[in-house]
Amino acid sequence: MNKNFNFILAVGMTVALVCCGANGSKIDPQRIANRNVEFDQYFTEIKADAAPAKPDDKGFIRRWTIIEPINKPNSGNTVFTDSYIETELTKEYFKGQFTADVKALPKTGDKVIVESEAPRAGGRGGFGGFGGGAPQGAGAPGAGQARPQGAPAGAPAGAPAAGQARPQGAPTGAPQGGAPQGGFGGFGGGMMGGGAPAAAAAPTMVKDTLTWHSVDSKLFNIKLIRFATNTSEGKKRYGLIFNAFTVINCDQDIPNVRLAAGSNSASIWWVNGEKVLTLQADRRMVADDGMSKRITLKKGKNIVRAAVINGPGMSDMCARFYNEDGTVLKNYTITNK
Amino acid sequence: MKKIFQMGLVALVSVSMSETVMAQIGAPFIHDPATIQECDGKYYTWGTGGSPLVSSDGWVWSSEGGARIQVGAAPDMIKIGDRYLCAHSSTGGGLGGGHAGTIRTMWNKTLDPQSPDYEWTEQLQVAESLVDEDCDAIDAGLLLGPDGRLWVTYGTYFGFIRVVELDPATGDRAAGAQDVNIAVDCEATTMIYQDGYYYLLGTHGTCCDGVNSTYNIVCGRSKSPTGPFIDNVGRDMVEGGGKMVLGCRDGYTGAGHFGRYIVAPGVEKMSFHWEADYYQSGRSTLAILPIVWRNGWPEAGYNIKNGVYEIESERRGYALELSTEYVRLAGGRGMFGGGNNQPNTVVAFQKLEDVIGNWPKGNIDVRVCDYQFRPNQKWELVALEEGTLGSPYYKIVIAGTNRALAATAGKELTTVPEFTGAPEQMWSIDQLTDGTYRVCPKAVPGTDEKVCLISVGDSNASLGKFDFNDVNCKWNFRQY
Repeated sequence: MNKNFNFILAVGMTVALVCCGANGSKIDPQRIANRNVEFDQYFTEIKADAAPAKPDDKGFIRRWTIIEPINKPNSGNTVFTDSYIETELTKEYFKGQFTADVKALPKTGDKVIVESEAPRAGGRGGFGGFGGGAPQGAGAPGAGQARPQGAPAGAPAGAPAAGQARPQGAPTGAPQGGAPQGGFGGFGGGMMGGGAPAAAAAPTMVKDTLTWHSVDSKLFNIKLIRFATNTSEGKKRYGLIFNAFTVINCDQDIPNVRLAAGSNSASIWWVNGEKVLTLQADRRMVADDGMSKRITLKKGKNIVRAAVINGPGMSDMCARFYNEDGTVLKNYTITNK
Repeated sequence: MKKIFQMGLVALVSVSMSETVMAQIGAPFIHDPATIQECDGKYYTWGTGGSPLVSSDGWVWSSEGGARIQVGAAPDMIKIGDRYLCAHSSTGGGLGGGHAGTIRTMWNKTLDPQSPDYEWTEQLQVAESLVDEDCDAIDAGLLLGPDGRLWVTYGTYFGFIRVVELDPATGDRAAGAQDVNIAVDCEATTMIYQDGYYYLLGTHGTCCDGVNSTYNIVCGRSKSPTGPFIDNVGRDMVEGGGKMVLGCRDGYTGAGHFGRYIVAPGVEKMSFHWEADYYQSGRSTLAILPIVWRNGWPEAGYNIKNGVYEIESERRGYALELSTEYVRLAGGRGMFGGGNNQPNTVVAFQKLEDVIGNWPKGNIDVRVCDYQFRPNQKWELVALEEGTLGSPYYKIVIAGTNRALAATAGKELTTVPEFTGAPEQMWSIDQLTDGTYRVCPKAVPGTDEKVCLISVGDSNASLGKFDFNDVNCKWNFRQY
């Protein structure tokens, strides 16, 4: 899926890097080999009637059915407060989005039309990078000069930036919904930036046709950003909401288990239609970051659903169940229906 | 009215002095500080963009005397032999942009820009990331391992943290070295080595959001520099694991960018930045705190805050006190059993004014004795505006007086009636890696020897050479 896009990107960067040694020397291509980010590096797409899967050795659930992501542009992740998450991740973008009826679950390949906010003009621009003072070879990525942090970003996402120095991870603009008090303390002497509330403007809405994909992850976690880039020909990367579900099949009722999950960034998790876990705020994916209260997985089919939101940066998620005694739950199968 | 004003002023100064022990003073403004290096009697560090901070004592910092170095993000520094190796990085866009980062290294014989030897060598690119891959090659961290092998970790919130071996002679990649994924979604990683383990330290949480930042330093450990690095609950850092080293303390938020400095065996410091120092306009500041090793894990220790303490010997648990006449308290039960029907009353504590009139007016010796919260056992510590690496000097006076602990010629102890600011009355107090404290005079009359407060026997104190393995050299500061 989308191999051409990633292949071109990877080849382009390989060429650039071969030329970009700071001392002018060539870089061994082996150093950057096998770093492609194609779909099949992360996922195996499975059919609707695929044989049931099992949790992996550590109990992580790798089979999920995920819909192509919904646009929700955010220039930073600090807006993910409890109320924001509750509002945005429980918003119904299409009929049946939160169904707890197994028979009503979509199948891989099913499509829905979703209206969502248009990505902002210029995308999630690059920060321009740090790189001040590095010897600039031809095509050197990230070589640039210092600029005050908080300066507007401009380069298109993914562009090798001939940019300017800026602390990493710094918000490049005001988060939607008003900036937290205090804002930037500033680094170094007297520098200030960011933190100002954005002018409220009605977002432009667009309609997207989104497709459901049943996948088995090749990793313990689900690299949502790679799902996004590979199902959108690189057009979707940041500022997205992901919705996914999986079906847990139990031979008998299993009481007193906990759903343990991690996500980058914020997320809400449901089991059989009941919200069991919220991971609010700007956060990185950590296995077992949050755990639900004790719940019962019922005999038969149980729907586990996740909604994850992210602004800029990596997005991924992971989940598994724990028994009451702290051991990982594995005595179930996983399907997409 | 005037009295109220004066009281307010005293309170304000008191708060200010109290809080200074948590952060460096001067103009310590920086982000992403490199591991602190000492060169020709001065301490140096650099932040993102190459902005320098310099200190002649390790407590008062400013950019004066330093030179901006031509680096991008978050440099790190290590001394190998008689040279300093700097690793730094550039990125193609940071969190929301492209991720074509590069790690570069360069050498210098000195960190003093006034030295004729000050010159950075040609930079070597030792690692890189593509515009779009699950890594962003920035935030280099250097470790020279116990076997002489040199490692650099790098990466940020966009995917994996990687480690690759460097050649300690050249700073270039070691021949045939392979980049290995060792963690995920951290910033500002570095490794340290302790007692058979490599520890990978990284920063989680929200960066660069001022007083709302949640930056925090975590770690995992491994027997190998290439991992797996496992945290205290058995979680691999590739799964996001990490045990907290330091997050936030009242008035200071967002600890990030760890660096280790070993002052002496048992005396270790961690340098980092606070994302926001509430007492300095919420700006990002350099901070240095003790490292305490607890159950095999590093954590940030504490500088002593201004206040009144028992100074307790680790040797016996007795308290440092003035050698003054023991004054018995009147009243109290003093009996066992019987009389249980009588209502309880509060026994009056012995007060300074109850006993000070009988104290000698000149110098008074000190000794070590059972703690009974008597006035001659209560010491007030006040931070001074000079210090050593990461902590201020203190005046140590009997609470309610200006009678100060002082070193004497001959490496003994006394108290002088008035604190004058003389160097023998200024004390450094460093928390040790086991959580106890080392207490040293700034100077001892008549000698340049570096000594610390020691127990001699259970009941006396003196000055002597510091030895981390000697319980006599360790003290605790207690508040009840």
